[in-house]
Amino acid sequence: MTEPLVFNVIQLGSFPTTRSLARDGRNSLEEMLAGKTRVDLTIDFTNVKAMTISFADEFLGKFLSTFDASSHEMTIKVAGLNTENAEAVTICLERRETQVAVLNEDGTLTLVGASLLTDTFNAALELGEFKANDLAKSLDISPQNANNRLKRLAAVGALRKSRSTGAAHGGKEFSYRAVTASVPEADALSTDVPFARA
Amino acid sequence: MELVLIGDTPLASAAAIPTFETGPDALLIDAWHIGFVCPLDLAGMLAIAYWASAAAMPVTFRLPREPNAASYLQRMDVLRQMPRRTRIVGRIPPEERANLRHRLLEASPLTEANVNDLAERLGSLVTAYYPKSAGPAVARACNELLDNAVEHGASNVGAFITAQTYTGTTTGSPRLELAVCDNGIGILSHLRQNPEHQHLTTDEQALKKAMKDGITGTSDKRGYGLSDLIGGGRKHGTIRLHLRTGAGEISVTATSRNQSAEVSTRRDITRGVWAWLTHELPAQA
Repeated sequence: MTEPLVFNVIQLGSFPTTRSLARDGRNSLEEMLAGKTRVDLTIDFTNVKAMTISFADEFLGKFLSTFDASSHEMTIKVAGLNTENAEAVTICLERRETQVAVLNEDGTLTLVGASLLTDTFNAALELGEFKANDLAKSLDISPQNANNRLKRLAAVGALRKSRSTGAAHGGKEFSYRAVTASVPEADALSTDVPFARA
Repeated sequence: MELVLIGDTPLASAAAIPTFETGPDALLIDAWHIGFVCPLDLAGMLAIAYWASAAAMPVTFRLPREPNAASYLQRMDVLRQMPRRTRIVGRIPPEERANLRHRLLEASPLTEANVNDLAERLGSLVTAYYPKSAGPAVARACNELLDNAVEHGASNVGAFITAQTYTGTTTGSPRLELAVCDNGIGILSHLRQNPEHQHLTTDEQALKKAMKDGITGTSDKRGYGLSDLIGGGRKHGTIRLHLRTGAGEISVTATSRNQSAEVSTRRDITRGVWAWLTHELPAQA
């Protein structure tokens, strides 16, 4: 079982601007996730009209750079980006050389940010649940290369990494599944820590 | 000592900031001959007044002779925001206050406590003024300036902000103007906090450096605020950014096709950083 959670960025303002506000928001987000595993997190920017790139970097860029989603078997996606905010997210993630799965208005998922892993993410979306060897075959790359790519995508929550049952020879084997496009209704959420501005 | 303001946009163009190194004195801001005033004049007057007040100088403010100019200063809250015990000389105009939130942001202290509220107000003002496609980009550019001021320009002397949109009747072309004047440590001292930039010795060098990507006084992976500001504004028209700090000044003009920057040495010294942003849409917009 996984738990859907949504962090609504609009609670930080329609024009979130400063790094200090972003730090408070990031702390609030991390507090919401504390002690949880197997969460499907949606960071929702709906109704945020324009955020600065400084805010995007301090809130989202730093969160993705410091939070290891794979150790919590967590997926992360960003939703509700307008054109301007999508640009802010892309710029800050490219600078931090990281990426995030973005749910587009048409319901498709795109990997945004540093572009090296785009093909890997698209292959993962097509494969459904898969193992590293499946990806290696699909992309015609070595299993080690596939593992390295999957590790990076799992760290930013673009796919969930779970220990596989019935691993051969008692060794460690993991299965992967890309983040899903579904977003829960607001009233279906079990947790949504309200943000209190300092 | 006196700060004599004459004619149109005096602090933005010709007036020199008085030197305070001569010891405790008094400051007279003489606006008697003032004409048209822009946001930089308003925020700059307040920054100077607070600097003097923090140095225990009594401040006197002489109101403009021209009633419309005096009324404008009143409307923009300049008189209200002057340091406590400022002596106002001249006839204080009555407060006639139409709700112009969609057109202007009155002179206001900019602090860590109110910056996010001011950013919301500025964002609403900008997006109401511009067409839908340009509004968010220009709002983002303006708010980068606010973040920059509170992150790097904090001091116990204060920073001030004011903004206005113009229809073009008084300014020749429709445009947005935003000014933020802080009394912080200035760009040179800020950059020199980072060991990588300790070789910088002049304000002019620091200004040039600060416009480049990834240049920061912090140890963090950042330093894109000013270029992001220019980048947001130039996508939808012409953005001009004038920055003054210490003895240096830089004027950057950028459109979607071109960008130019001119660095110069001023004959006065600006405490902290004064930033003046103007943005105009292309003529056909």
